[in-house]
Amino acid sequence: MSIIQKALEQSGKVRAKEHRQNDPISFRKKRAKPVYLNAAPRHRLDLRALARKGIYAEGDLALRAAAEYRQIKRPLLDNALNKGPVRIENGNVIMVTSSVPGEGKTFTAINLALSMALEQDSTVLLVDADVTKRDTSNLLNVDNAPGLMDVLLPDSDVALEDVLLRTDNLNLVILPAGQRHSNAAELLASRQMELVVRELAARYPDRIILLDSPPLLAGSEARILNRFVGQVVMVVAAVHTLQQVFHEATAQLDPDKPTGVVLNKSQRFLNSDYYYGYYGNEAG
Amino acid sequence: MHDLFAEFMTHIQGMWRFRWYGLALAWLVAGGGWASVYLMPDQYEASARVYVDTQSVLKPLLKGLAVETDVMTEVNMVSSALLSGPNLEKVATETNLISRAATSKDLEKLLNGLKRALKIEPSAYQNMYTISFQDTDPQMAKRVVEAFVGGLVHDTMGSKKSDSTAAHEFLVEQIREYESRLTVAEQRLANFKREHVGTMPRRGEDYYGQLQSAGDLLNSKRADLRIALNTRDQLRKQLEGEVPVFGLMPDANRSSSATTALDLEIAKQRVRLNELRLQYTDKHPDIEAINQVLDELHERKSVEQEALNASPAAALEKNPIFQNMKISASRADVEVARLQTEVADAAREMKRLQKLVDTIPEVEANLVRLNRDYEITKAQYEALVERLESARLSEEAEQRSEFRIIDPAVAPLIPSGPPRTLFLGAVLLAAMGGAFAVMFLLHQLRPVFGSTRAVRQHTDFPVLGTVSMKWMPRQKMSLRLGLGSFAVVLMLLIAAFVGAVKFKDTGPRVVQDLVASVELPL
Repeated sequence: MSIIQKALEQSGKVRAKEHRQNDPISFRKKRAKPVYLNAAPRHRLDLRALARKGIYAEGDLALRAAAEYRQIKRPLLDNALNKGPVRIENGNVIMVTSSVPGEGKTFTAINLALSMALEQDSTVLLVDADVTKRDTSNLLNVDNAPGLMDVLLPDSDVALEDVLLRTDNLNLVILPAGQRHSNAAELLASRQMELVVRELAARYPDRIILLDSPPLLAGSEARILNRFVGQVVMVVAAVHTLQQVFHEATAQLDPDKPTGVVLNKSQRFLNSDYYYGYYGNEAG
Repeated sequence: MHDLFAEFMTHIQGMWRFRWYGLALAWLVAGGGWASVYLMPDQYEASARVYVDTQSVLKPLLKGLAVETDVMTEVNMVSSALLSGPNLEKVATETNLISRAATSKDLEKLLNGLKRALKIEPSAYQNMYTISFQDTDPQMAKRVVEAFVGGLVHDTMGSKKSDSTAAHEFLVEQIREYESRLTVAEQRLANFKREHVGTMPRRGEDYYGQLQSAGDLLNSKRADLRIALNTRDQLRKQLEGEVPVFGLMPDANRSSSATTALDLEIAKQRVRLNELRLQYTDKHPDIEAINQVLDELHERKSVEQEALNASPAAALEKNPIFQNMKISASRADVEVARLQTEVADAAREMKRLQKLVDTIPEVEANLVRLNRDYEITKAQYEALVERLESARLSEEAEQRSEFRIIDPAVAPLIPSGPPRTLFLGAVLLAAMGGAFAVMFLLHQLRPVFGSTRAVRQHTDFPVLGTVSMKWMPRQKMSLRLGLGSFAVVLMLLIAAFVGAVKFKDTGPRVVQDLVASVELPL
């Protein structure tokens, strides 16, 4: 997003106009309830709380964490913003998943989002697509806020803009999970979801959409989501996830979509930390 | 190097997942192992020290005649002979060890075990060997060693005896042969001597020597004869008056009396007279006596002289000197005759020898040869006899000292084995090893991604990056707890080991009694 656009966004007028013109869904919804995005309160990102919960790194570890995520996001961004070697369709829609629960998807998704939010040339939309566990929403204290599910419900009149939450970090927008529903899987598999994703991807090409999705082997949602995304981040817990399980999980992924592995929870002996301190002294 | 270490650490991390499995296995193995070590019956070792001197009997007998046997070889020979099947069986039967074998296969195993277990070791001192045997029953151990040592004594003596008997027989045989040879030689020599009795050389002289000395003898005898003849002739001449003899012949100075004895007497009296005259006058009675004697003597003398003048031949006859001369002359005659005979003998001998110029040397040579043969045979015979004698003596002397039991086998009171501490330690090592093995095995069977390298190796996906583990306080706590409990259980294992080692002396009996009491009702 350009700076000018951002500035104009501040005013809110241009943005609203844009939406009305280009977005059939939101336009439809919009007629019913005009919402001024600039009027919506910005959600406060309580990083301290996140740190306490063990999601965010503070203090000594912050440097290292920052460096780690810097490295991880780079190829993703390159692909997303078409700076990579091959043009990838929907490259800016990235799903963060893993084989089994507990490997650190949410952890990775949030931190990746925070790291990407530091970028100058792009914004980040973090979507809590794990509507069952809704860890992201919980951690960010938007558990009860309206979100994705509200948009996907068949006879819902909730617009996308209504549920997109701005944060006090200008580059980060959150889409919570929304209300609980027993047919979450089906809803995610619906045409509506596809449209939502398409819109999110197409409308703002320089906005990265991170989907915190459920584990691949814990249901079929992840596989479904895989259809809509352009890139996949597989989170693997070091010395924990069995290779066998990993292969089982990744077998469900679309092989044509660029998939990268993030080795999480790594405990390396004698790590060389010297270069962490080189770039700045505080993360995010 | 760093990479290797890092890789190694990832493996350790992977194995760490299964630490409880490993520990459980360690406990199982250790428990079972230590129990079985405790159940091992005590081993008692009985030993006996023996002195073996093989040199005394064999060496002198076989010296120069046969190959000398090395002492160690001898012992090895004997011990390997003794450790043969039938001997072992004999020992086993003798000591009732055989009762432990139920089947023939068991028996075979028992005998093999016996063979291996019976140890014959040389000790620091020469000729001293230690024979030892280990068994769970101390009495049995003692009996086996005793039986073996007894058998060794018997067999060594026997083998020595048989060896010495063989050598003995050999010697005797040789002696007999030489005896016969000697007899033959003697006979031959005797025959020879008898045949050539006339031509036998004198002691120390061969034919030519004989010839030489015969010639010399002849010459000397001839010389002697010549001298004797000369002497005789000379004496004859003297007798016949050809050679003047002082005061003897009648046409010589008559004033001198034939009777030198009378003259002497007269002289003597005159000297006496002179002496007396120095002291006394002529009127002394002694002097007068002497004058009388003198007068008488003079008278006798003149009478004698008259008689002599009358017949000079008779006076001559009475002359002792003349008589001596006559004796010498006859002696000379005798001498001459004798020498003539001797010369004749020598000449005869000479002639005889000269005649035998051909035969005597040959005979001499033969004799020398026969003598030599005889001497050689005799020398050998004597040597053999001497050796036999010395062997007999030494055999008698050494029979007692060639094999001695220095320390007889004693039933040991304290067990010598098994080395429980060693075994306990080995069990612990095995338990640890087993634990590691199982952990490693599981790690290999259920592999994970320990590093980005593993991800790259085992998947086709690119690695975006690594995120380090961040520990929450709560997690840290549970982590510590987990680690602590693991450490505690591990320490318990070590403590159990220490305890097992500490009680290795008393524990086994307790455990064995326990097992026995449990097994009995079964």
